[in-house]
Amino acid sequence: MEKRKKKVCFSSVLPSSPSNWERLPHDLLYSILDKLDTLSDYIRLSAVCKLWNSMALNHKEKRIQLSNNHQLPLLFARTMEDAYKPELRLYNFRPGSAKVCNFKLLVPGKNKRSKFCGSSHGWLVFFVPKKSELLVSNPFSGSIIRLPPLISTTKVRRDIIKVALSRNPSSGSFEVLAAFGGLVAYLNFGDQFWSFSQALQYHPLSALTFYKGSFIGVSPKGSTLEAEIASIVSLNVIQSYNNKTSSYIEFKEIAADIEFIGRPKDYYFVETTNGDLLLVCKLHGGTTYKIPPTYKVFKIMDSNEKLELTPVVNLDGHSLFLHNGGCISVIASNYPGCWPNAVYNLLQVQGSSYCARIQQFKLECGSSEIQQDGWLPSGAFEGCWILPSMRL
Amino acid sequence: MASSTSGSSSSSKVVKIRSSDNENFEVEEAAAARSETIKKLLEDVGDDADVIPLPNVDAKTLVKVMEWCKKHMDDVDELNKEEMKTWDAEFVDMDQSCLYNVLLAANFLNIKELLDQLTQKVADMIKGKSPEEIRATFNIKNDFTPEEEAEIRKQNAWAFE
Repeated sequence: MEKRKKKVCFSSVLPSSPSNWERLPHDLLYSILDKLDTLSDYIRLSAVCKLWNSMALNHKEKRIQLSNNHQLPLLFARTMEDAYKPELRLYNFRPGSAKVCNFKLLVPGKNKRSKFCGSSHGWLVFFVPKKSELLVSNPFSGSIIRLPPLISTTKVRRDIIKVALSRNPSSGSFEVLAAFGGLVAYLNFGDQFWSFSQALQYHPLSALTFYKGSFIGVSPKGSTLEAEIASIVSLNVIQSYNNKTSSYIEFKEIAADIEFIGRPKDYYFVETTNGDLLLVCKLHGGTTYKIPPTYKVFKIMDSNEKLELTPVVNLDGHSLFLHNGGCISVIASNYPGCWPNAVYNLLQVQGSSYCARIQQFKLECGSSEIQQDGWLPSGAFEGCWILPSMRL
Repeated sequence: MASSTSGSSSSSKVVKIRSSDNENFEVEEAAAARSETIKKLLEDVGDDADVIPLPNVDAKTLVKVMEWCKKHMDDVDELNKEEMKTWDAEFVDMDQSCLYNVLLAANFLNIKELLDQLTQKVADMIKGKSPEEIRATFNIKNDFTPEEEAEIRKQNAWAFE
């Protein structure tokens, strides 16, 4: 066998130098970026120096991973410090406290009376009553999409109750369903006109979402003092091709009625990080506000073209953040202080000008806790939970 | 290959390595071989190697890295895992300039596990800090113009509380 003395040499000889972190080899900086857990850390790192900035912007996979699931939702709340400029302010909620961020978002539209009607896929939807117009806005990128005015032959009641988008508008195509008091309007983005449903034979929809290809809603059907019956309906839009304005919206009950003991006050749809759809019902605690509400969660499952609702207390480690304007679910184990299989919701506290607090309700034992430190303005009820994204 | 035939039977075989500032060290081969770079050099030169020169690593840094390699020379059994964790945590707890040099050395010497621990340490030092605090921690010069920095902050204002 060949035995030959090989000369060991190196192409570059670097002298030992004082640290030079802004010239760190790219692969090392990538491994450091990979070990960050929150998008806000990632963004702050990108503001340190030029090299770190360009590396953070280039590491697309990690950015998307952080944007999707590794963060606690932030709460948007409407504040009225200046009555002429209503704004949404962001609150950073950590179990045990709520911290105000410096980030403010002016409510879009020149008309200060525009109304926030909820969030969908990270976008916020506003209704400008004066023009009967819907604005879809991304709070983090600043993009605003203006939708055609909601004008119909039927008299449109001006209070929009719920809005859902079929997909993220940044994808370029999406459908919108807006539920008013007495009817439902549908728009395929790009259309000039909305399609309207006939007057609803159901009560106003109290929750609306888009799941697996169709819009579905919850419609409370009727109630006695002791119980309430609600049904899940699908809202299918039947497009007639010769005349787009005459499409109609078909309602179909797609699940057996659910009957509640007690009277649910609110319904929420929440999609978990593994794609399951949950229906959460908030039940009145009692006649006084001192008794906090309780919650029941149902998992919605397909079964022979019907949907089946199964009550669950185990959410596979998820925590649910509920809000009429938009719900979010996270995996609790990623966040110290966050309880798995628990729901978090805003709770009205009377006798204080800052009157919202966050309630934590553990599904498995049914115990309720109200977070005492950190207040939220009453305008928090006109807001939503949202997962921030990084703007490039 | 030369190395496969030559006597590597003794487990406490010692290899010589030389730092960039020309200090020689004798290290157990099993420890030095934690470095993929050294391992490969040893395979290449076989027994004829007199001293392995490591011109990218100074003596102070090399001592530190070899300390880690020695500790991680053998497989750790379950019982000692916790103890090892504590040792590792103490090991990476060093000032930023030392951390920087050890990080670069671990990269050059290609010691995967050590690299992993060091980059994790850096990430932990970044977490929860503002850009100013990160710069102060790592002695990094801000090379943005005030306008550029303001623009970056404006774009994702929510993250800068």
